[in-house]
Formats: sequence, structure tokens, C-alpha cells
Amino acid sequence: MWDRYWHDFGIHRLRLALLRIGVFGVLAFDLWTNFIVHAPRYGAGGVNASQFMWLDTLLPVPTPAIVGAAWLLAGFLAARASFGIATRTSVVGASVIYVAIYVWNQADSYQHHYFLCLILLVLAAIPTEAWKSKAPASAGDGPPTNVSRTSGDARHWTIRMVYVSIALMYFWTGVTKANPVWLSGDTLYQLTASAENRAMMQAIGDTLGMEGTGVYRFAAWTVMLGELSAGLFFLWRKIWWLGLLIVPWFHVGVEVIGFEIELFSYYMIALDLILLAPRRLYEAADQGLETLKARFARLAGPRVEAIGPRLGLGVVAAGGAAACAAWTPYAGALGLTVGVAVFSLVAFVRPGGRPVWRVIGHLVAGACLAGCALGTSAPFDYYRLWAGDLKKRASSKPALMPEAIATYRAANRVTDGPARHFALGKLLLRDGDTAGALDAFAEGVRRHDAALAEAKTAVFREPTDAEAQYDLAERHAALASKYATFARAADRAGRSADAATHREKQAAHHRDGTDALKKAAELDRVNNRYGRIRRLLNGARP
Amino acid sequence: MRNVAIVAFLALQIGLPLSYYLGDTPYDERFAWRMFSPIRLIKCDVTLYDETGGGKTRLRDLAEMHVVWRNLMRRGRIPVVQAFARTWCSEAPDRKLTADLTCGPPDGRLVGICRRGPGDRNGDGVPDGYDDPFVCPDGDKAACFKADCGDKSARACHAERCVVRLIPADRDLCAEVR
Repeated sequence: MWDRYWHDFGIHRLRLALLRIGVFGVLAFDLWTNFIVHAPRYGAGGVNASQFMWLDTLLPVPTPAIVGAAWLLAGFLAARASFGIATRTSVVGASVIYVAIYVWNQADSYQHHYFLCLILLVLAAIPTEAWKSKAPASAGDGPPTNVSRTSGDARHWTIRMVYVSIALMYFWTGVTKANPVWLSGDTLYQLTASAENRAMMQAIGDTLGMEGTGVYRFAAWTVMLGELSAGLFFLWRKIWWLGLLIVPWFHVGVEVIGFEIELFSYYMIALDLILLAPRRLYEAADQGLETLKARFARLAGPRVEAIGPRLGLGVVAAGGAAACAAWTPYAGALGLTVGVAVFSLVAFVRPGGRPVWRVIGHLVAGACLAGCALGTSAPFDYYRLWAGDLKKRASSKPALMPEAIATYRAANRVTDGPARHFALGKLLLRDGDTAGALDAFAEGVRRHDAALAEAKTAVFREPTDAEAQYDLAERHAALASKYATFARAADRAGRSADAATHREKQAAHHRDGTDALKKAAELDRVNNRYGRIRRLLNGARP
Repeated sequence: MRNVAIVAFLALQIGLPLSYYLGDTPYDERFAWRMFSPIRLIKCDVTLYDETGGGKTRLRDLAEMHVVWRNLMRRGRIPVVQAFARTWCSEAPDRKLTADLTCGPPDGRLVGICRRGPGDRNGDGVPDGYDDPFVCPDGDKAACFKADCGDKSARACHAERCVVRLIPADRDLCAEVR
């Protein structure tokens, strides 16, 4: 029974392919847009606490450049893995980097970081033969003979381990909740504290005929029982279909409620759907894909066996991917570029496959890496959080001030919208550079004015859109606050006429912000933003 | 060999979470799959003191460390306190660092005296935490208070039940990490 359960277990090769595409595709995006923002935490202040205390005195202190470059490289390898290029090397490379950084430092030690470690370790152990499982070949013109429905399945005990690992995770999360505190509903009550969530729970309670806190107790019991039983679906193939109907909704619910757990819900929804979907879906998809594959194979050109032309193509791939890596605006970009170039070139050393597709895949992976750097707020968040930490620590270590100023400048450079000009200006004032501070404030209000114009346009187009109205109120409130700071700085610089102008603008924006907030509240009173914008306006009162 | 690998990995996935329930570090949930646990909502109070040369100066957290370390200390992670001590203590000779790290008890959310402290702002003779329906579902606040604290005063009961000191206040952390 053990052998049958573990060593005779196979899944449709398309299911494994989709698992690879889904997990590593999301991982690449996660590393390039979420994780990279956390890189400046690593080694900040020279402090490092690894996941295991006995390692602390053995490991060096990490740096933002090393961790950032490593994560971005892992993302590149994950993208390659999702494209099916040098699959084993890419899977193992991405997994080793991720696990190493997780163990190195506790700065990112949520449960889902640990979960990714375990799943990646299991996926890294899947052998090449399993990743490359093929449909049974036919001897002549007809379909293959003497093959079963499951011939060509990907088979390995590590694939079973993916299912068992997820089952154990759900089981233990259920065990966590088998205690009086959770089952009272109090924890859920605290976790759903926003006005919108409270209204939603009230509505559910009314529908179910529950009074007071009863709906929270009911929900707590439901979650606990659901999690305890969710694991069973992953252990027994015959009830995968039932798990498919139930389990993903838990993670959808987590996102609806708005828990901040980064992309964990998306990993789990992808895993649940891919691993539990009926086999028939993959069989049907496989038939359609075989036709497409034949067409693309002709487009891909011949196999290239000679080392010279292969390496030539490798240089093209490595050059293109490395150029994309060099374009990323993070510390450690040089190391990243070298890593990307080396891994790209090595992928062309071994013969086999269609090198033209490999070149395209590398270029697309590189383009995605650069795209996430240039098309998201990740670089801005990376530098502003880094600068914020340096600013705080500069109050006890003044030697950090120049680095804080330089990092705020970097944050302001990587975005065109409102940035951290006022934070920079305040630091410059502390540093005695009043002229520089006033320039920073002027640029800051210019950018905020541009953002305000966009918010006004949005309200003009959709006057009944509450979120647009809240955006407008927030823009006005921010400008009122900025002009207050600008006025104080102008006073200090002896520019009283400018200070008076700034105070007039402060008053105007405070008035307009108050009006906009009132309109927004008429459209949607139960909105988390109301309190925050109200406080901002109160703080910027003339 | 592959069966050894299977058993070893399963042992890890069962043993690590189990060690949480059999161990005595309830605030460190890292490997126990404790998502959305009540422990997550417990905020510990941490204050670090520079007692070099016999004085006692409170360290300003965020002026000395990244906010992520301060937040992890506030989740009762003693190894993070020790890691900080290793760095801070090495910056100058003969430094002395002490820490006041206290957390609420793991079941504190259901104990009225721990929920909002010993204060009685509404003057009904029972600490305000017992006004909460999660704590006292049947509404008899005095009975719930007596069940939790017996004949003790609110202040004494709070000090005894609601404060878990994770690091003794007189422990010299620099001496430990040198």
C-alpha cells in the first residue's frame, strides 16, 4: 500500500506542466514586485537574526544589494521554469535562492513564506524525467497502441508529496483553530474590524438569523472544521472534485475580507484549482494542444546540435536578458546582470530542444523582469522604505544622513508621480540645506498638483463614483498638509511673501478637501478611507 | 533511499508543528501553520535600556533598529532581541543592555481582566473588559470576574494573569552574547 500510494502515483503531464507554470509564474511576479521591496530590511543596522539561532554566529550579515539581486535572479529563473526552459536548473536555482534567503534572515517569516519554502523544496526534487513526461509515441500513422489512459503521466513520489504537504498544512491550520479563543469568534471579530467587513458580517448574520456575535462564532467553527477536513481532499484522489468545489473559496474569502497576506491567496487558489481539477479537463486540453504544438514545432526551426551555433544563440539570449537586468534600478543590478547572463548562456551548452524558443523565452523573461521594475511601483516602494528606515536611524547615527538623503533622491527619481519630496526636504532642512529643501518642496507640490488634476478629471467623468471622490478629497488633504510645511520652511528662509501664498493655498485645499470628503461620505459612508482623510484634514487645518 | 527521504520530510512536517504544541514558546509560531491565530493579535511590549556605566536610558526603538525587528520583538521573538543585542553591544566596549519584554497570555482575549486591563471607567465595580460579549456571553459580569480572579483585586489579578515576562528585567543581554 505504501508503494502504491507513493511510488505508483502519477498525474496528467499537463497538470504538472500547469503546476509549474502557475507556481513559478506567480513566484516570479511575487519576487519582482513584493519581495524586492523588502530587500532593504536585510542587514539594516547590521542586525541579522536567521531562522535558526545556531546559524546566527556562522552567517554573515546580508545586504540589500545581495538579497535584492538574488531575489530578482530567482524571479528570472522562476520565469524560465514557468516557460519550460532548462526546467530542472531553473526550478532548483529559484528554489535554492528562495530557501537560502528565507533561512538567512527572519525579516520575512510569515507562514506563507515558510509554505513556499517547503513546496519549492519538493518541486526542486522532481526529476527531469517527470517534468518532461510526454504523450505515448505512435509507431506509424495511427494512434499509439497498447497504452493505457495514464501512459505518459508524470510519476514520482515528490508529486504525491506536493499533495501531502498541502494536506498537512490545511490540517495544522485547523488544529490551530481548535481552541476556545478562536472558537469564541473573537479573533475573527478583530480580524474583520473594518466598517465594510463589519457591515458584511452583519448582513450574513441577519440572513442566517443570528444575533449579536453569533455570526462570528458560527464563522469561526466553520473555518476550523473546513480547514481540518480540507486536507483529506488532497490525500484521496477520488474526492479531489469535492475539494475543488469547497477549498478555493476559503482563499477567495480571505481576499474579499482584505487580509494583507501578499500573494499567498493567489498561490493557494492556483494550487487548489490545478491540483484538484478533473483529469478529463487536462485530457481534453491535451488533445487541442497537440495540434498547436505540431504547428509551433515547425515555426521553431530545426534542432541545433553543433556547439558553436548553440553558443551563438546563447550569447544573443544572454545579451538580451542581461541588458534587461541591467536596466533594473535596484542596488545589486550588476550582480544580477552577471547572474542572468551566466544562467542564460549555460542553458545553451547542453544539446537538445529548440534553441530558437529558448532564445525567445530568455528574452521574454528578461523583458518581464524589466517590465516589473519599470511598470510597477516596486522601485519607488523599495527606495522610499529604505530611506524611511535610514531617516529614523539617522536620529541616533547622524552618519546615516547623507545615505538617507541619497536614497530619498533615488525614490523621487524612479517615479513621475507624487513621491517623497517633502520627506527629502525635511531632511535637507535638518542638514542645513534650506535652498535644497525649498526646491524639493516646490517639486513635491508640482507633482501633487498634477495628481490632483487627474483626480478632478476622474470625478468629472464619474461624479457618482465614491472612490474617485475619496481620491479627490485625499489629494486636497495631502496638498493642504504639504503647503503648511512649505509655508513654515519659507518662513524659516525669510521668504514671508512666499509663505503667505502657501498658506492661502493650504486654506483653499483644506476647504476643497472638506467639501470633497463630505460628497464622498454622502456616496459611501461605510468606507475605511473616511477616518484617515478626516485626520489628515484636521492636521492640515489653517 | 527514497522512502527514507519521504519519511524524513513527513517527520519534519509533522514534528515541527507538533513541537510548538509540546514546547513552551507559544509566541513563536513560525513553523506551526498558525495562520490567523489568536496569538497573532497579542501585542507584546518591549522596551530596551542602555544601562552602560550604571545609568538607565531608554533606547528609542526605531532610531536603533529597522522597524521589522521592532515588530518581531513585539511578537515575542526572543532570538531577535538577542540578535539586536549582538550588534548593539559590539558597537562600543563594556555596554550593558537590558530588556523589558512582556506579552499578554495566549488565552488573554477571553479573560476580561486581560482584555482592557484592571480599569473600571464606567464605575460598575467590574473591570471594563467584562463588558465584552465574547468574554462574558451570559452577561453576568461580576460572576465572570470572580471566576477569573477569585477574591483578588483587579490590579493584583491583572499582574498575576495578564503579564507574561519573557526576559527578566535585570538580565544583561550584552554579557550573554559576548
